Amino acid sequence: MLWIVQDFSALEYGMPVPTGFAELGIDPAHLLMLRAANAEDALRASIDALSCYGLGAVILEIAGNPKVLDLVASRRLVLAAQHKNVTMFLLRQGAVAEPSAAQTRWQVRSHRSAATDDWGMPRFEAELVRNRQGETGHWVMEWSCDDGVFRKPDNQAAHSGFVVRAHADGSLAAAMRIAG
Amino acid sequence: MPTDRLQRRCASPDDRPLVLSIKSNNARILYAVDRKAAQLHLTPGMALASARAMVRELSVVEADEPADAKLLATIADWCDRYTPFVSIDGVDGLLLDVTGATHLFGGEPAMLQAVCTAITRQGFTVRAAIAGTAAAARALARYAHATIAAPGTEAKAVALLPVAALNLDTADTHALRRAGLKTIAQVAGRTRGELTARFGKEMVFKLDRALGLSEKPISPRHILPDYMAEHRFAEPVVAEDFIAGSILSLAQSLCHLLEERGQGARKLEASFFRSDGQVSCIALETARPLREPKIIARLFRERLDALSDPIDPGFGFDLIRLSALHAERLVPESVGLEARPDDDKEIAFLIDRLAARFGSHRILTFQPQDTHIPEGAGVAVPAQHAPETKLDWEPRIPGEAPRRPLRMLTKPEPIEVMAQIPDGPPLRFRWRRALHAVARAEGPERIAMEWWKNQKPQPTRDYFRVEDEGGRRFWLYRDGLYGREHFAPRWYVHGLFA
Repeated sequence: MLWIVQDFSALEYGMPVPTGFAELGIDPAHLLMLRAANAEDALRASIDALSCYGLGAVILEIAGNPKVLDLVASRRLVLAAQHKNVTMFLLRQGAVAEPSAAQTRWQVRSHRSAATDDWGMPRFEAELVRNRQGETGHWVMEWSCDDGVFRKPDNQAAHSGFVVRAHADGSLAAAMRIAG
Repeated sequence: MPTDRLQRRCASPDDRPLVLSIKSNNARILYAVDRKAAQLHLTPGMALASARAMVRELSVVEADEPADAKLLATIADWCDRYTPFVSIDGVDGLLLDVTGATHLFGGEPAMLQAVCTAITRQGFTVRAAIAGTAAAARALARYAHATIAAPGTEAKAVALLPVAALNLDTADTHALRRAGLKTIAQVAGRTRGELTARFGKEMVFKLDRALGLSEKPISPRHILPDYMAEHRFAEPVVAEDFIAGSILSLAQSLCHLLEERGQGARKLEASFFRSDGQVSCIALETARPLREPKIIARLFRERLDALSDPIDPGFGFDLIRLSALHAERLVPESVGLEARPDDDKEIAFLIDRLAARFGSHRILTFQPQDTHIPEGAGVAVPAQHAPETKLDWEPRIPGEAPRRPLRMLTKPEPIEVMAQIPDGPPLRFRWRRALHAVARAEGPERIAMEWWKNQKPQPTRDYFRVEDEGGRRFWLYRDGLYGREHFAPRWYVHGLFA
């Protein structure tokens, strides 16, 4: 997995830390990180990375709405991702929604934990705002660190099937927007 | 050479004699003189006042030693084309070890001629000589220009040179002259015992080297490459695709050499020698030993594309050299039946490409560290140079929610906090001007700083995992214990959970 971070967003939102990944159940040894000086470099690097089928996923973080990331650029990313079958996630931080060629667009925000006393697994509220191949929807899910899947946060039926598997969107590019 | 530097720069040569002056012991003395000044019997070391008294029309310029050193280094780089063994001798000399290289240039006399012509054409006065030992060549170059002394005949060649050619310190040279020993032959005629007793061992070593009796190897300026391949062009080349093609064919010959020894390159350098004496070098490193010409050529193309100021071919390059500065054993890998051996290779190639384009400090992998300080527990190291590590990541506790945040701020940011009890978790806090009400908190997790590593004791941190009303999770800490370490400890945000 390659994670592309811009210098700016590292300052603003902090650097991804390996111990955090380990705690989420992801082996940090599988993680490569590229620090790009600006959005242009980051885009260029992700196109390069998408040509490498040894990678499981490419995560590109883009802060704000840079001019270089237009429809043409996002279309190019989708084509590159489809060509080599590499999943690509485009993380938009602090951005205004704009058209993109991505297959799916998610809006993800954190969700309140269950009203119990113990400190539970992290919960997310995910809204599939746009899906080129199917329905949209809205889910609340809980990341289960032990087996690396999202589950329905239901205390009684915690083991009843999962809603969305991690990387459920296969080889498609997804533009995700972290709200707040 | 210092006067040449000035005269090369000025388009219209001044017809007055030029001298460079330097301040020494509160007096202005001559540092260097040009040919015209030398003919008027001005010599370096003379007081400027007496020089002015001797010659009325004199142009005097302040000496600039760093600029001279830089210029000499440039010439030395340029001389790399003749042999990789180039070293700088004093402030105005170069030593080239041409052993085994002369036949490439048509023998010793032809090579000497070629070097002199090329350097003269660049606007320098040059004196050169070839001899079996560096010290003999040095003495001949400075006092008997264009001499070639075959190995074994150095003693005869240097016999009549003045003792100054021995490169002794001024006091010793002076003492030899006072003793009536004017030439090297006269000095060599004395017994070694006498000389050692009077001048020390070092002087005798220098004498032996000048006579060709012993040799001190010269130390080259650059690391000698393990392998190299080069193209010389009869006509300087400018066209970009021609240069790219030449790199590819050089890479092929280099890989051929590497293959013979079963090695792969870890560090590569391409040197472009411009016909007017400029040399630009571009180096790149690889994550694993590399022996594929196409990949090498591609990496160099990426690197050349990414240069902020592209290398300027000027009037063209007349020599392009590709060298493997560092090579390692390349083990042919055995491939399992179902494994995808290409994956690792693909990723290593990607790392190299990204490093060539953006710099190796930008593409990182993570390595665990043996510490419990949160920000030190995992370090990001350049993926190309990641050392092998025996440490493992601390395993997570099954069933436990993440105890460490996914993102950590590079510098913890101070927050304003309201807490119910001094030791407890905060009720509300203000971070980046937004007020967050704490809905639930987990902690403290007390982390003491490593007192055995720091000279100054640092306060203990109490970490809290905190969730605000919107469900966002923060990692806060209080810097110091209430009452014991601080009266009013400060609070910081250190990280954000997923």
